[in-house]
Amino acid sequence: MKLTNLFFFIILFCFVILIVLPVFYIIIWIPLWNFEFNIFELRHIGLIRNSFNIAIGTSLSSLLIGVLTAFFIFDSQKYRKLFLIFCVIPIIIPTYIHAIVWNHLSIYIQHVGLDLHSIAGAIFILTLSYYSYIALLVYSGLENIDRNLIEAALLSSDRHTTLFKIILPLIFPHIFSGFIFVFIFSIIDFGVPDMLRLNVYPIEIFIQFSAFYNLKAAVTLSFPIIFFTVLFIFCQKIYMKNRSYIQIFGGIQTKSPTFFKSHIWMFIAPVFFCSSFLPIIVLIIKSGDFSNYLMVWSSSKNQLFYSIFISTISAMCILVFSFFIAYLIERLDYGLINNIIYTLSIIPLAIPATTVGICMIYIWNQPIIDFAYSNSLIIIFGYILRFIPFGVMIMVSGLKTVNQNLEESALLINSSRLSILYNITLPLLKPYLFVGFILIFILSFGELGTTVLILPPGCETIPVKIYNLIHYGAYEMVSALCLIFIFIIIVVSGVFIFLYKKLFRKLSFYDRSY
Amino acid sequence: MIEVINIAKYFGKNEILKDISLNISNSEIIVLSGPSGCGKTTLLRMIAGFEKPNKGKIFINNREVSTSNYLIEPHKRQLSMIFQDLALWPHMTVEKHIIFTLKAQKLPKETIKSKTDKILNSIKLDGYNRNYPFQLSGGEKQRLAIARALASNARYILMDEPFSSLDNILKKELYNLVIKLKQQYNMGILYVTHNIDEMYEISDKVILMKNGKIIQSGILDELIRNPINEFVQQILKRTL
Repeated sequence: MKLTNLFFFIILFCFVILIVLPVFYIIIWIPLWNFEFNIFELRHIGLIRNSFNIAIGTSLSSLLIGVLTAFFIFDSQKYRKLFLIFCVIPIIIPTYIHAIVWNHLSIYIQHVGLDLHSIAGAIFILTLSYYSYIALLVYSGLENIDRNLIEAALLSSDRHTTLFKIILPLIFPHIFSGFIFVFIFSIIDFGVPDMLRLNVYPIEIFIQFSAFYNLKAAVTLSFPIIFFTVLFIFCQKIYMKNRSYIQIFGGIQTKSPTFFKSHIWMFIAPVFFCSSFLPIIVLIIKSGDFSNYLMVWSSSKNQLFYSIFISTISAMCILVFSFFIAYLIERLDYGLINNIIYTLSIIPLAIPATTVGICMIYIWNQPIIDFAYSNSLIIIFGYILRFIPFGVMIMVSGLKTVNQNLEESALLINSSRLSILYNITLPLLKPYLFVGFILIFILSFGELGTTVLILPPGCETIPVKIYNLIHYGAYEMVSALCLIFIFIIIVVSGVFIFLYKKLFRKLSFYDRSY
Repeated sequence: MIEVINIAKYFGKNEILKDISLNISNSEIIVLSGPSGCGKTTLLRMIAGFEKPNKGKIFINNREVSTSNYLIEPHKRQLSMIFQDLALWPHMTVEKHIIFTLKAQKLPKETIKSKTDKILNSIKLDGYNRNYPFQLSGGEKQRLAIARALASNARYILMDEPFSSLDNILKKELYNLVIKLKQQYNMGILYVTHNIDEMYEISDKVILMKNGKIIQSGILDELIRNPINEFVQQILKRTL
């Protein structure tokens, strides 16, 4: 047990250094010692209003589109997999690439009466980027409803009553979680407002730091956003209690009844087209001839390999770290401490990317510990702080699905918790590890807000290169690079999904065994 | 011998177990019964070392293993547990279940191989070495759970309604296996069930619980002849 204790002590030590310290610095230390900076002045209230308008508008429109899309996919028995792929594409494409694409189309959009460089424009673009999160969460909820419950309701009532009285209440936790996630993602989004030149908090934070080098003001500015988003996270935690909203197993037991008439596709088809296909079509058209691709490839291949390298290392670190944090939360009964660790690991979700970057610079640019500041380690630390909530949420959901009796029966035999983790728990969590890796890899690969601030000298990632090229006005190169970027994500995710499916087939008996 | 002395357990304000005392000797099958929620599984989990008692002590072979502030780890208690859902590891084959269990005892490779074959043979699972739990029938799964308990070198087995989902013919076959564990391997068994037929088939002694308390204990025939109250009469009458 001593080795196990030492191991968990090291994990907790890393947790304090990499998560607790930056969170403490951002939400307590700087706001506490920075009274002279008035966040309640008129200009900042305007920024809060803009940020909230974007977040609420995006969440509501994503909710409507996401829920309808989920039902559409659920109803379409035959093409389910295809539609799910359509739904995943907007997640693969980072929001700033969506913004680049729609910037190209702004003239046409104006004819419809929508000014893209406005709050409504930001809501439009962010909705097309984020509705998929709600659609996939709600779809996962629908998949996991016991078909017997639906059939029992259908025996005594019609489809619409069943939909409103049985199905919607059952999937409400998924809808609610999706809404909260989209709200948080859109309130802290940096890429879209930056491309559309909108005044919102994440942009102001960036300006305070990069233009005025007012580090304290930049961090203090994050406080209202963090406060409200943490409040939302708490609401979500209280509502969800111990339920899990990410379920990878489940699958269809029997053919499910349909709930919407087939002409719903007239609503969903334009959404799929605008969010999944149009970006790629526009980028192909705007990238010019093939020589541009060759030019971009030769000038950016180092950055591409660097991005793949740094995202892979970060995703692996985050996953391993998240697993042990989730294990502490789910399996070791320390009462209140478990809740504190969970909350601390979820709070970074509410911190704007630019604030994470500033915080990394402040913490790691100190004597003695500056070894991380001038190399890629600072990026990995930044990504760990940014994406640890995703890792922890996925791993906690995974651990909830592992029957504790399986571990307890091993505890009667084996003395080492680490051996039980390796032999029993980890093999059962493989699907969650795969999905977690792909998601965190995609998020890290497309990360811009933090990277642009903490990139060490001589290093450049693809999102930062795209960001710089936009400011030079090299739009053909930007388009070609965006396409290569999307292609790389699709290839890497494809390889992992292929491996996952091969493994999944072998693993699918897990939930059939009892 | 397992000695449970004046055990009490609270979850928050709920008193789950109240002053429970019982003994389990080697070569003895004790059947524990009572309505759902009366604390049977909690008692088993405390004997196994998964829960700490709030009051009282547990001794195994004269060694203090559980008190309110002291708990010996489950694997040091020389006991095994068969859970209601069996808790077979779905990613391991039949053979790997046994190998994993034997490896924990740090036995040499050759011994592990020969012991695995011997155990699977004795439990009639030879030929299923490479099967996963989902490829086994209900009865085979139960036998695998018992084989794992045998491999763990346990002197006592705690069984939490292990055969509740099986048909009567299979149950009969498995009762014989449980009796064999007692007679051939000198094991002490604490067996939780609601089923009076199971009490008849395997019990040396029956303990009846209600609301976290032992209501009456003794040989089954005695309990039927002299029930202490209406509850005992009802519980023993139900399926007669």
